[in-house]
Amino acid sequence: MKKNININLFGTLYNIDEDAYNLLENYLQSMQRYFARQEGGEEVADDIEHRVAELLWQRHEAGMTAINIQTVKEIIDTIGNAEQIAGDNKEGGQYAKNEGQYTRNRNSFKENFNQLADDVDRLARDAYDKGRQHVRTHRFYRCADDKVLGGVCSGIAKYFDAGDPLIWRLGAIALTLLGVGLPLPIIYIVMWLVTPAAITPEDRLRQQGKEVTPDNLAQQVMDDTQPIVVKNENKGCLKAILIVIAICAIMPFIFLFSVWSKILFNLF
Amino acid sequence: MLEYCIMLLLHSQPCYANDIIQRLREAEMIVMEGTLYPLLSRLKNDGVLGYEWRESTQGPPRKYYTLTADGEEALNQLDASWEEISRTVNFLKN
Repeated sequence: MKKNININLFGTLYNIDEDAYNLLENYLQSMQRYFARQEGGEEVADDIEHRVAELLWQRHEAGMTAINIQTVKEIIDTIGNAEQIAGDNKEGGQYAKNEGQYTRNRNSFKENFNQLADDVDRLARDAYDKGRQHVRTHRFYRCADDKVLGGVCSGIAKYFDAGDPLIWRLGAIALTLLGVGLPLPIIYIVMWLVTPAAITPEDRLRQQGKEVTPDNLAQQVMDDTQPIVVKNENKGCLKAILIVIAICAIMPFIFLFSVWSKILFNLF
Repeated sequence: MLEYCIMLLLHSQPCYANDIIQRLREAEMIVMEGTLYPLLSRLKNDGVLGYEWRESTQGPPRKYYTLTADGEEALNQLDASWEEISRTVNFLKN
């Protein structure tokens, strides 16, 4: 049994399952946001909404009494599958590798050396390009659905495509306890306050370094229909430990600051 | 290319999106629906197409696109160049 909602689309009433409704709503909103950035985009988004209504109506006429999530997925597939909805099939985002062929001349040491220098240069440039590419496509977000405190560590893991957030968490704690990373808790808190959490499908695409295209959006919206389980939400004791560590780590700074301000105060 | 097809389509009669998609499918011109709307909107902004809303007896209101006078003229030009291209291609093929 599923909860059912009545919606009115351009004068026709439809019964729609709650999850199907959420998916549809999400899809239309992300389309709107996507096209809002383009000239005349509102109209295109409006056209798409009309098309959705049209497709729903056809099914309604064919005798479908309640619209389920499968139907909505079909509709999204029909309309949104276009990577080039906006006609922008720009090459950007493609990392063109320079597969230069190197002919090695073993007779001359100098040439070998030059070759080596070239190789090193090329590797460095590749790494640099890759890094820049990464920075250009990825954006940092905290993870709202995988967090112990603020989701900063899992955000970092996502940002660098680097493994389990747990490793980052343990690493951060270890560094702090070893005394090397004493400012870490402060950095953590600042990042928690300053950076946004990934909430909308667009956020999550940018977090993964995917381009925000209608196709990717549709995919992401579909993925998001899987119920979001907030991981680690109930690890209260871990949270408490972290907070204690944070306070311990901040204390010396507060102490230093108070001493410092006293000295200053006495000087003048 | 797709623009040309759509203009040909609208030359004979005004259509709304569903008609256009149906006709293109009949003509085996495979097109992603999503690509159509920005295209229509661009053609409209270029003054090639105009549209009017028509209430349908059932279902949602429909946006019927028509070819404007400018559009007809552009279509004639496209027809001419198409003729030229196809003549060349046919000549070379045979």
